[in-house]
Amino acid sequence: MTALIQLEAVTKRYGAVTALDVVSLRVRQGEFIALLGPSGCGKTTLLRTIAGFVEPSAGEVWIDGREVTRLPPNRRPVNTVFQSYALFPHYTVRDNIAYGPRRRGVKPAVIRAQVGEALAMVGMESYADRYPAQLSGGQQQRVALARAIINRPKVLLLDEPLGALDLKLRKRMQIELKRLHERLGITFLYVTHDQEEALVMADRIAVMDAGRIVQLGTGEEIYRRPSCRYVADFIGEANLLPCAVDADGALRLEPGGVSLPYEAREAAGGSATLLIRPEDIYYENDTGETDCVSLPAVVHDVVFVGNATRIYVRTQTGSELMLSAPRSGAERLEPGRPIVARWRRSAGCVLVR
Amino acid sequence: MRRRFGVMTERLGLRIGRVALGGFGWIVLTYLALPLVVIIGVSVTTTAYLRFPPVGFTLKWYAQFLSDPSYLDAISTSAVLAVNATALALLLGVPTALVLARAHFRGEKGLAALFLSPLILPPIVMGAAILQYAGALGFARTYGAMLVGHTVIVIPYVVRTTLASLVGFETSLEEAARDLGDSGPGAFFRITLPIIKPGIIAGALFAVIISWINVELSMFNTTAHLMTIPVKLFNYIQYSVDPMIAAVSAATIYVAIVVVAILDVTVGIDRVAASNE
Repeated sequence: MTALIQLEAVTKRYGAVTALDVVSLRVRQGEFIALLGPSGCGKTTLLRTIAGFVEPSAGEVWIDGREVTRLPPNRRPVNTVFQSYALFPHYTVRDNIAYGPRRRGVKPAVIRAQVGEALAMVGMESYADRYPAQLSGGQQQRVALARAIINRPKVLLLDEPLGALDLKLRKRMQIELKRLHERLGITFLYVTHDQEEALVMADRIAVMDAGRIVQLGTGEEIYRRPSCRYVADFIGEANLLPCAVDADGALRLEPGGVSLPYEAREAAGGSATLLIRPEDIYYENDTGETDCVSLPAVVHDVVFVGNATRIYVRTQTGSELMLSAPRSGAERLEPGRPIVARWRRSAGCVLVR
Repeated sequence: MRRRFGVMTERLGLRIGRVALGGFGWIVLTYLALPLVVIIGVSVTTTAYLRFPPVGFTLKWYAQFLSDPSYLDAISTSAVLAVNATALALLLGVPTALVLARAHFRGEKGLAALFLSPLILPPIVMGAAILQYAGALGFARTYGAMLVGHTVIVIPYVVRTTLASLVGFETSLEEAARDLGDSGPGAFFRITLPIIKPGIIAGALFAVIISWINVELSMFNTTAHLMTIPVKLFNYIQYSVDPMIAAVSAATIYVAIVVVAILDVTVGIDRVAASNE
């Protein structure tokens, strides 16, 4: 199957700064892809390259089987929902939404019907004659969405569209966006720095760092099997244990040199990192499970975070671990209490980069 | 009791302050408006000499200058000049402001200063310079030389107000228009221009007024047949002073008032003042 969006070694330099560093990406028709990374990682530049606002220094951009690298934005089958919404302040909601169809010369009667449909899709029917300044942030966001989807683009580009909304509304919009995506069947490319947002909505997540895509995979893959320390640290909470790697590839916890049942042949003689998610560590004395790694430790802090309790422990050899336990049961733990931190071997993930 | 007294004196003080401020405002206003009142008053006097307060009421001085073709010529020269200089200033000044507001390059500040410099140069110097320059190029004392000079002195007003209106302009609006299928010029004329229009109109009206009332620059470039109304007035009062001169002056004031009224109706004086910082 051919890809709907195909980026071939796209590079963008601004003077000495490299914003995009040989980025290649294939997105299938109908996928919901999140571009995830901290500010300055190049995710917005990548989005703008696909939209046509940034011309790459090298590489090619293909959309729907056509090379569009040098095409202006108005000749690409994509539409953007801007971070600032970018609603035209001197147009009513209706005229904002009708902007795209009007440029394509659609008949007024058809436009009227399409605008009505788009407004209904975002639940803004009764606001058609208002001006953007008379709308709340969330309402403006919906109008911006309607203005883009009325054009039935091949790809909808969203640049942190929920960034300016409060937490509650953001969560609701996440679900609405996901539903909209399913209903329209349009490919969504969604830029965000919020990992939760990416995990909730996206089919696949492209994690970016310093102008590169460091990992592309489903949320599960990226969470469970990150490709490097950067991804492991960026997504979710992580215990990253520094290890030394023996000549035969066996891992030893640093400091202390405790032997661990993991190996990293590609880093033999060097160092690696062992990732264990806080929720994968148990502290009950014996769960009866076999094939476990266990480290004796002492509790030094217990922090209540609402739906869970975070337990900070220090192993006998001096490694710090964080455990996440459901609320019940954790009350018994108080600082100074000795426990055994234990996790299934398969829960650990060796990172050599 | 004492505290209550304190509150009362404070309130009284506030009230006195307000009255004083209001009074001061009126004094300034009167000071600014009085010459206009005098001119308009003198223009309707029935005496053959300048007299204020006027004796009786007559429009004959207006009739006199309106029936003199040389005055009508001068008025039309001034009007055409003001409109054309403003049009040219818009064509040159708006793109300049767009570049200054958006592009970042070496010497950007210097270029901005250059475009605003006619504001601080005495127009009389500019008049002499235009005369010399046009003389060297062989079009001294022509309408063309006058137009160039007036365009130069009004351009800062257009650049300044357009720049001010571009300060808060989000370029993502233009990008959104492009994204929705509009061409570059389409996005400019449908989105950018309507949004910065108040600043441009304000600049244009300032430009019209500045050109309309200019004496110094025009003086250097006039001939017996090419004369603006302020220069004509200036010449006239060197030889004779009668109420007709007041009528002509008053007429130019009426034009300025009409222009300002248009400004208020179309854009709103408040907005112009605000966009001008």
